[in-house]
Amino acid sequence: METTVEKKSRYGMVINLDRCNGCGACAVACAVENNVPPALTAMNSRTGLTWLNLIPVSNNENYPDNETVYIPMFCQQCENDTPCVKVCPQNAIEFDEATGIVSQIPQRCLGCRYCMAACPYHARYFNWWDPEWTDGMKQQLNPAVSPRMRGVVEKCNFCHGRLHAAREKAAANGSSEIDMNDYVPACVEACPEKAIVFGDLNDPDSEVSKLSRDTNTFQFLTRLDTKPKVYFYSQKNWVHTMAERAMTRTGKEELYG
Amino acid sequence: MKITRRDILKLTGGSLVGMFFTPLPWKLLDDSSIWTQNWWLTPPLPRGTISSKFSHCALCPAGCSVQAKCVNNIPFGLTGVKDNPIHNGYLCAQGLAGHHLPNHPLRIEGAKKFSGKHETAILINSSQEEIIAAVAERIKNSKGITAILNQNPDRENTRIYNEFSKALANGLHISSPSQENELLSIIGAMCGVPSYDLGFDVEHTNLIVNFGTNLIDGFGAPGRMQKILSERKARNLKLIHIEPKKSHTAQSADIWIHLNAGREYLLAMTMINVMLYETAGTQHLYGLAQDFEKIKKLVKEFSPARTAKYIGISETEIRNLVSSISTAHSAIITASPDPGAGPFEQETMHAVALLNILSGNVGKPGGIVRRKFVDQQTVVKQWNEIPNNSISVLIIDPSETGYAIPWKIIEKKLQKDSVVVSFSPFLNSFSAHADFLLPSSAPYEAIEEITTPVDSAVHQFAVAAPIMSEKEFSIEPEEAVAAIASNLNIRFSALSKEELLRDKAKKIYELRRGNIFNPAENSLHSITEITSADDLWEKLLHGAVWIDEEQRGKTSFRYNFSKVRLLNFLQYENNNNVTNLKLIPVGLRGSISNASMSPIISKLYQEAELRPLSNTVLLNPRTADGLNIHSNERAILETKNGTMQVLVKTDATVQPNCLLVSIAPSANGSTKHENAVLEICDIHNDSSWRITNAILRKS
Amino acid sequence: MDKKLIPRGLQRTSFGNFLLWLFPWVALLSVGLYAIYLCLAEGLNHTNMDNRFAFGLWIYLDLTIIALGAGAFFTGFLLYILRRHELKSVINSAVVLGLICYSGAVGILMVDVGQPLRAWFTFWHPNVHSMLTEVTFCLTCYLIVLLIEYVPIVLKNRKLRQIPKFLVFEFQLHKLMPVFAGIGTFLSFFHQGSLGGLFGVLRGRPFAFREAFGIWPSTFFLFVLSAAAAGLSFVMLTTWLVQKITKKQLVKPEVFKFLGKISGIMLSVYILLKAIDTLVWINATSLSAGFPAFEFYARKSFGTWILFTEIVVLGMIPALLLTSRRMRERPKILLLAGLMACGGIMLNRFVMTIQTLALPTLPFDAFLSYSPSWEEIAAFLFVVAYGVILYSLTYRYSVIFPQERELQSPVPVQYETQPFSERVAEKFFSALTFFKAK
Repeated sequence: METTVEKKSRYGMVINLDRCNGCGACAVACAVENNVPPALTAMNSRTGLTWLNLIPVSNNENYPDNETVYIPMFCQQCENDTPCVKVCPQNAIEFDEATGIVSQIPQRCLGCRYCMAACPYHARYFNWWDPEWTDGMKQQLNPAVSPRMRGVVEKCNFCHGRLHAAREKAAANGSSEIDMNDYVPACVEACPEKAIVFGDLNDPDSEVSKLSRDTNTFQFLTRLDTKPKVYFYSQKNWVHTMAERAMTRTGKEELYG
Repeated sequence: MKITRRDILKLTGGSLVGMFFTPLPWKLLDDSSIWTQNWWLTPPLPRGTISSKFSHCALCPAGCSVQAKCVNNIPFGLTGVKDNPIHNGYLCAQGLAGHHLPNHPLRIEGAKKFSGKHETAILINSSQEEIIAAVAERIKNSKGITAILNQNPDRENTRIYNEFSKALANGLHISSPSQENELLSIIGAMCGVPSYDLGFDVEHTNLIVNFGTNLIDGFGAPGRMQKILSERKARNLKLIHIEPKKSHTAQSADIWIHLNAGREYLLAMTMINVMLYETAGTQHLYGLAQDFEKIKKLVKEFSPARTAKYIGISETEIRNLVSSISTAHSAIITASPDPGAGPFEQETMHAVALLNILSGNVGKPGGIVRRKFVDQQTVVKQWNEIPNNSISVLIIDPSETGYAIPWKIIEKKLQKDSVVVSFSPFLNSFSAHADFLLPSSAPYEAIEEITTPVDSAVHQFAVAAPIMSEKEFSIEPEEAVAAIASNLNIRFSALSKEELLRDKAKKIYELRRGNIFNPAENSLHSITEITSADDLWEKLLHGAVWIDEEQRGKTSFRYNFSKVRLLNFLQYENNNNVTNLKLIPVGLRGSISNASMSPIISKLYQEAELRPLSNTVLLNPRTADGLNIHSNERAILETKNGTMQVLVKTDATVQPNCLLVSIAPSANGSTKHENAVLEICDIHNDSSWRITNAILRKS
Repeated sequence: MDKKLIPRGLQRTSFGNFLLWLFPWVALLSVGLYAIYLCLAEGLNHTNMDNRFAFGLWIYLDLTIIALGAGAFFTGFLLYILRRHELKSVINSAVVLGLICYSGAVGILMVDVGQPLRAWFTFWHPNVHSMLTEVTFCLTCYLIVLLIEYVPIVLKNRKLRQIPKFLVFEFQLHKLMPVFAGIGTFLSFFHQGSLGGLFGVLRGRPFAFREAFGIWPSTFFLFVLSAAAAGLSFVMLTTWLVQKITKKQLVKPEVFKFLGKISGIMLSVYILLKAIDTLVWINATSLSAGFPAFEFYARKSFGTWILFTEIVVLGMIPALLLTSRRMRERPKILLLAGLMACGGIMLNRFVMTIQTLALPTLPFDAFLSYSPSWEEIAAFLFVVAYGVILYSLTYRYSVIFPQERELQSPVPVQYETQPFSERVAEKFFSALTFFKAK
């Protein structure tokens, strides 16, 4: 899609899977930042709200040759023909040409979940329940992010609240361009291993842009041609092989032969 | 005029058509849109002044610096302090949501007592006065021990507890089992110094040989250790990890020794054997150590040729391991308790302590070093020194180690009609067994002391300054103890926690040693630049941390091995009559109870597949095949102590024939089965419970 | 009162019997209503859907019943546009079925979405690129058309016929019917197609994604054709079922054969194109997305048998049976083939919804299974019960089958010489003893 927006950023991430130790700080920081409610008793890994979902993936070898990487999976901010944006019947998903960020407008969302079926990365989450916090925790919500209601879809938006804050700060300083030190998504800020690099992919000198061109960098499902803006980095061969494999072979018991 | 049915129909029809030309339907649409967009069940966002405060996280002994973003002086987000010189400047997952704890659903709001027997007991409201009076009455009338169980005894309130227990006829202030500094205590006992005088000099070491503890997994990594391990290359540091599971630590270690589960003692003893009988370099000890010959004799039978097949690794591997230690410039051999499986057996700890001493790494920079002296009190007794059925009143301090302790261990020491008082602000695995609950403040509500972590070569001191207002229903432990003392007519100094900490700050100020890191200014200054003790206190309240100077050069100790408890091969074999399947409880530091972490951590264990929920058994797919049990099936886990329902998950990182059962957390809102597996584990006399023979069958 | 409402010259069971017949359906309706209440009041956590299985039983059944309800538009198209007057005898039935299927589908959809009160946002902020927008627009419009088409049937009621204005209105409406049939055909073409497009456009789901012709993926056209085929077969089957239940002959046997023939032709065209489409998908579309198609069938539960069953067993075989005049002559085979054709289309909708969602896309994702909760099943049975009740009421108080009067004879059904189907049906319907012709 060609656009006429002149000053255009394309925010993206490169995640170093070799560094990630699966500590979960990113997922928790994300939930705290974005007012994602804690699980109710009946929730599970299929009905929960994990904008950033840490998935352990192994090389399919058995002990002691087994190896695991933790893959933080979240909205990959597809650039090309964004699958979810295209299918939403009421324009509740927006692709921002100026930033490349795909954002969900929960107030307009009907909850038809068509976007969830459309998303190849399973990075969208539906509010099967009404969100619940203790009364005290309600006072501890992030004032910059609206909580969502039952029956709508939500997902990662690269901490949009923080982008707004950075823009306001830039505007206050009389600048039209934000300082990238002011715009750091919560997961990036929380990662103790500095495994996530965030920045503008359009800026050829940015670290993220350089890393995205590294030979050890890959993306998932590139052949779907949705041009995601989240990259993964690993020096392990098996991780690359795994990523290129079309589909998982989950457990022998489910397969023929 | 006669009104016909027809007229009514006309009117209705006309009205219907006409209505579309009125604002009514459009208003209804608009309203429904506004109403659904401002869904009445979503809470309104807090509005008000945004501010920032510095404090420390007191959830575990690592004591990381935090910066809190607040709205209306209530924190809504925490971040680490990036330039902190000792930590890596990041918070763990649990710490990142620590500000939720004061509003935790499992918070106990006000003094309460349990009414009824065990399983069927219900919580009823009580008052602080009533409980304090009842406890005092009980202390007065009982013949047993009145014990204060303190899981973090390096803090200043030890003074209060010691004073109180000394004033009682039968009072004891005791540390809990499963302490992180246990190895240092044992080494300390061998060289005649208290554990807090020793520290691991991880910053200067070249080799960490790690028995069991997952240094880089989950929440278990104190910021400092994580920082050092992630800078391994630059620091020329190697990590050798010894664990029967391919954990993340095992995977990222330079060398991973995958010994058979439960054979750590054999390995440590064999390493000592190789050290003493096959390598030169231990002669320096001959003159220094008492009872050295006794040890040497005992160790002789643990030759690699004999033990290798039990340990499950080759003789060469054992020899290589020893040679890596002896060729390293400096090395630390660690063995810490596991959050789930608990402490190593006493004999293993003693063997690992010996390994440190015999390899010459105690007192050496980069090894286990002596910290510069800071006046500190310690507990009167260790848990294991208390006889069974002796405690009549048990007072449990609210501090937590982050490691699980089976209630059975506590229960064993209690008399039949004992009274247990918990000061915990939460309903956790301890307070759920108490008779009386006198909840203290939750984290970030009241001032708390940040002590020196075990992995620090120097002392440090900071306080977790409150960033939220205290609840009127909480009572501080020091205050409660003082009230009990006053009910017993005991003369008591009755210092508040703040007074205790101010005292300590004053002492530190007077030492005129070390540096102050001030996060608000992001500066590191010598303490000599501080003008008064009050000035230091003021800075500490705003998140500053005092870091002592390093002890330079080598320290020589005289060792006494007379109290070393080791088993000979036969005794060991008798104690380790392992059948086919081994039950090993597992957990991650701090996640041993739902009450000790924000409900939002459900993003990791309940809403994701990252961590197992409590009562999940992880086992190797091959073992599962052998048992004809599939992943995600329910099964019955049986030991000689009982049975329980478990959920089966196959996990290729698990050693075949091991059943790793997660102890906690359970799904939000259901705490019933927390730590249930610990109840069916074998508890040994030394309060360890690492491995239990078990059977797993389909349910 | 009840007697006065029953069409003149037609035999209907006693009011008591009728109430008895309605009773279980009303009971089912109530349970369904309660399930719907739970879902609306407490949220969709009452279903077994989840973030991966974002669609479940409801969407599958919506797709299915809309396909089966396609008889309404296609019969209308054949009758009013192509002037195939043989179908006059079943057009009312087709319209009632269509109305039931469509209103039921829309009703269930309103429970299925998380915020039903925002449903009109689709009209307010429509995303014209979304297949679902197309579906919503056409479905809503077509539902209105169906309601208009239903009006003359209601007006056939004896009591209402006494009002002269209504008679005039009905007459005028009849003259306009070809227009509505035209509009209905147009709308149906698009929403049936868009329902297919719904999955065909999912670039992120290589199992469902298909090559596009213009703005529409191939599934768009396949769904239109398959719905036409299934719709006619379904009209045939339901008519037969009503005959069985009422033990009366309601339409002439030629009508069945004609329905079967047209259904067979449509099915043949459909299955031919479907086979071509599948081959293109296996050899090009899926491969270019990085997914060798046979990996999709690597799981035990969804093996290649499902593809074989869909295309050969429930596609080609009924297509051959229905297009062969000799086979059509045998009512048993005609019905069986119709049943198979409907089954094939149902399986196709199942594959497009459930199998698409069960299959992982990311290399480390698990293959998931899903089974509906009781609330989902009850809410669906609500639609079934609602359909039976609406059909029963219409049948009792109006004229669904215009040939009923002339065909009324003591012999219930003429063509039932083949004992098998009758035996099966009799066993089944002997339970429903309370619906006897007087």
